[in-house]
Amino acid sequence: MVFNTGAALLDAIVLAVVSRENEGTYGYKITQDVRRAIDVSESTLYPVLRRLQKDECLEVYDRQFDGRNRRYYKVTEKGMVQLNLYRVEWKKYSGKINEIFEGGVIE
Amino acid sequence: MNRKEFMERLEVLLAVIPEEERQEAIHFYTDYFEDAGEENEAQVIKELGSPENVAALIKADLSGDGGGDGGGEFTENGYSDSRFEQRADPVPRPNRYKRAEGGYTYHSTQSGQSTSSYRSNSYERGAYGNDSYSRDSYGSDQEYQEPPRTSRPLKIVLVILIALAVASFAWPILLAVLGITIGLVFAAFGLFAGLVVGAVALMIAGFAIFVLGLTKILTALPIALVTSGSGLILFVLGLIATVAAVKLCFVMYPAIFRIIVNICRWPFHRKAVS
Repeated sequence: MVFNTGAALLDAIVLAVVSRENEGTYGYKITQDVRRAIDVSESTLYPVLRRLQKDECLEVYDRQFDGRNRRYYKVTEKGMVQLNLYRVEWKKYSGKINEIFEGGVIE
Repeated sequence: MNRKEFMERLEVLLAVIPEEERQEAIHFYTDYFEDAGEENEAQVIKELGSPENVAALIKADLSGDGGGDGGGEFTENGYSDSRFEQRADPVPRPNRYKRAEGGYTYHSTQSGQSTSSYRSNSYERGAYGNDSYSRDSYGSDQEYQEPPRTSRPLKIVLVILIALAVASFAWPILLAVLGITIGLVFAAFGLFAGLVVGAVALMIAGFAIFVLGLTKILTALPIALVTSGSGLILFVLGLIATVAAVKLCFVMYPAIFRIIVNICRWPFHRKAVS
């Protein structure tokens, strides 16, 4: 990928990916989903998830799966607020960039 | 390296972080391998890089994040995280994210192809035949070389800059001194020339008054006598003054010239001596 992904954007993408699953989702799937959007190292995702969890944007719970406890991540209320903030910010940001890229009038 | 070895190594490397954190991470990566499936094991290990890489990322995120908001900062100027710089040496840095002037670059290896060839010194992840992960292939990227604090060219440049700075101060002063000297010399010339001119003028005026007195001799004798007398006195005074002034000039002008010549020779003379 040509463009760098900032920490905030990575947080936003992870929150968005997790929020799509009402029942929550697990690490491997989150990683694969995020990587569908951006080129990010697999080893980068765990620290991001852990940080979001500590920030109470994500909550975790274990559920039995295939004879083991699989860890699930779910977006919290606070996480949703944060995600919406990111969405608004992204809309503004990408809008401005698009305007410039697509020949908008720059004053 | 297989999954078991990977996880064991990771656990050892994470021994320094709190128990809870370690368990969280181990749980995550155990899940990760499970969910990836046995068939993807090699691929996952490749993608994760090395246990050192994974551990370094986890530790980096833990250290110093009181509020849980990682210490690193992604800014327009790139990623800045002072902790990372110190960590880079003992622990191999995450291979797929490296510091560059532009910030982080996340590399993709999904198809084993490097998608980041736009960076000249990018870590090349081309054909990946074996499991062994060559560390020196990214070692050079992490070397943070501090430039020498002093160097010869730098010193020369500094000397030139100091010289220029001094010159910028010295020039006006030098010019001022020169200007004052020239001014004084011309003033001296002018003074003595003025004395001569004044004396000559006095002489001429005395003579003129004398002549004027003579013209009155027939109409008003006493006035004529007084006038011509004082005219004569003035003429004589003027004559004396002129002679004196000219003589003074003869004495002073060569002296002034000598002083000027000496002043002009002074810098060269001094240089020659030293």
